[in-house]
Amino acid sequence: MSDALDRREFLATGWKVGAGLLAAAGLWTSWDYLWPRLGAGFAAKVKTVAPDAVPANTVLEIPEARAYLTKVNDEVVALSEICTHLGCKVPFCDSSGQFECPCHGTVFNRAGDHLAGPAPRGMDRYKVEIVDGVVEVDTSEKTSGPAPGTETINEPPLGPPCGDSHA
Amino acid sequence: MNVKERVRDSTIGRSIFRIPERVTERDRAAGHWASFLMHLYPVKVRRVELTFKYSAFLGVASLVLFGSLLVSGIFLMFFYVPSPANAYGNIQAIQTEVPFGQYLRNVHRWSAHLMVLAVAAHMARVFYRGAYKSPKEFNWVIGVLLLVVTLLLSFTGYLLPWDQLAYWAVTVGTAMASYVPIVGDQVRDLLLGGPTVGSATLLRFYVLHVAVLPVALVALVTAHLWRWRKDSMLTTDEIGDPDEPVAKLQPGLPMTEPANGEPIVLDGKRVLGVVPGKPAAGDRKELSDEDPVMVWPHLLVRHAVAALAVLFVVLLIALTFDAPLKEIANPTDTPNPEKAPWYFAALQELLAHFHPLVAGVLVPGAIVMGLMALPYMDRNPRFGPEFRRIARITFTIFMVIWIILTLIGFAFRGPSWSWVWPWEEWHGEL
Ligand code: HEM
Ligand code: FES
Repeated sequence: MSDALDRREFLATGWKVGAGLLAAAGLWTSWDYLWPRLGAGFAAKVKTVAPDAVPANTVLEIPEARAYLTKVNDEVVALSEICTHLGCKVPFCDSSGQFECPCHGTVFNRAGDHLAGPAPRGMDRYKVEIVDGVVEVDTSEKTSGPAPGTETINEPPLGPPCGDSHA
Repeated sequence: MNVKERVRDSTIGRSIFRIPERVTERDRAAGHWASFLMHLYPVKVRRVELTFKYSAFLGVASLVLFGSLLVSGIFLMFFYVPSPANAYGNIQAIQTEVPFGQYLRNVHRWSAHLMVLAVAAHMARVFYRGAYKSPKEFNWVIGVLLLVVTLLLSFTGYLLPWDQLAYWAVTVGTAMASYVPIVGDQVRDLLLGGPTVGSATLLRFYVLHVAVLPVALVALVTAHLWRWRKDSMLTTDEIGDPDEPVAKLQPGLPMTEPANGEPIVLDGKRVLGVVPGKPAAGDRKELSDEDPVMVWPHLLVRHAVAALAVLFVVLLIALTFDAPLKEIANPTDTPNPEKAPWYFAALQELLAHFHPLVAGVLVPGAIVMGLMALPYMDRNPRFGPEFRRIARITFTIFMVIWIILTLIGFAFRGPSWSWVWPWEEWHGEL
């Protein structure tokens, strides 16, 4: 037997390598093909209201941006209304002045700090800019909410919660 | 010659029906080789397989329910367009304008729920019988994959009506995926086709639901049945006195259990043909549970009866209860409480107590991996329940915990996931 690769061996290995390459190419192209083309959808800039119209003791919902506007220490912030736990929409409870997620009971304060419940962090924020005297929310630029325990503001509940809070 | 015989005996008839009249056992066996569908069945099975207590016919029931889903699902497809602008209206039209539309939708929905139940119960029955033991380990693994595909089919179908129930259950379900370390966010984006559940998600779930997953299920079921057929004559259950570990040697059966309890396969072969068994005539001895019996007709009639019973139950439920349809999906308003489909209620209950990485990823991952590893970890070769106390007790404990968690999540949770007694206020959704 010569050391040179004979035809039989070459074919026996060759077809496996070929099939492997084909499988890899298939996987790669399918992944690329199915990968969502982001930038579509609601990831856009949303014009809202004048900064003066943003409340400091409650929140203002901007449905097109899926966000709430409020003032935290005199600064306008946009809080994403998508719960950082599992994505439910977090409503604001007027009687307690806090956010209460209906899905698994996470509670956030008005600034989006995590107070209780299973969410791993506070509410995410969108970038805001004042353009021509109007607050513009950029939903394509998101910063993750603060770690639990962070206290951006210290506001005890104004009154009773809306749902029975989670035991 | 009657008409039937004439047709069979014509040139065309003989080209179609190649199955002989089933007079002798040999003819019946030949009938298996000659027919595509029949050849998925074994020729003979152990007599015990004919009994209800053996399998409760849960495997057959799962298969029949899948058939019911295929038929009703194809009917639904004629009137359903998977886009947010159409889907909800289409379902309403199916219910109100299409003749028998509501009924078909009911059949599809209730068959789906029943199939999840049937597949899970089938798995439990197989466990208690010890039927995952060598050499059937891998068929058990295929079975676990079948359970996973069944759940995925149900979950992808859940989104299609595009109502509030659908939208939020899928939002939460897919958000769980993003907690998978490293690849989580990518998997989630790939599933959703965008940053939130939207039109791309609906289309993706639809394609998975009506094409990718059903094909995967059919492929897996075929392999599952084929292996069942190949192993059909293996002696499994050890019926005996715990003090007397020596099994009776059963001539004519390919596998027996000798004194040391190690199962062996005689001459290394499985039975492909007719098993030499009792003499054809003259033997009036009572058959034991382990004796082989012809599948045609004994097992087939039982399967036919079981199939009819399942279809009858589906028909009754579909005539009595209408499939739910809530308000149209509204991304800006989460219903309170938001509930996952009942088969994920246990996970949702865990999600309220533990970090999502634990409850949404590690626990389900451990369950699936643990189930797949089970036949390789359980080294006990015995089948009789009295030899398998630890295995049975462990499995039962896990199952009971899971059932309790499911019940809590399904029926005992109300607004903001607070505890609500189901008889005071009902919050279960199907
Ligand atoms: C194991 C198999 C299957 C399961 C578990 C399953 C499950 C489901 C579920 C839970 C729904 C939501 C039902 C509803 O709201 O009425 C659904 C809807 C649907 N399924 Fe399936 N399905 C299966 C097979 C199929 C197949 C094979 C097809 C078509 C070839 C199909 C076509 C559809 C369609 C068009 C809908 C939307 C109509 C509707 O929601 O009423 N399904 N499926
Ligand atoms: S999604 Fe908000 S607490 Fe779970």
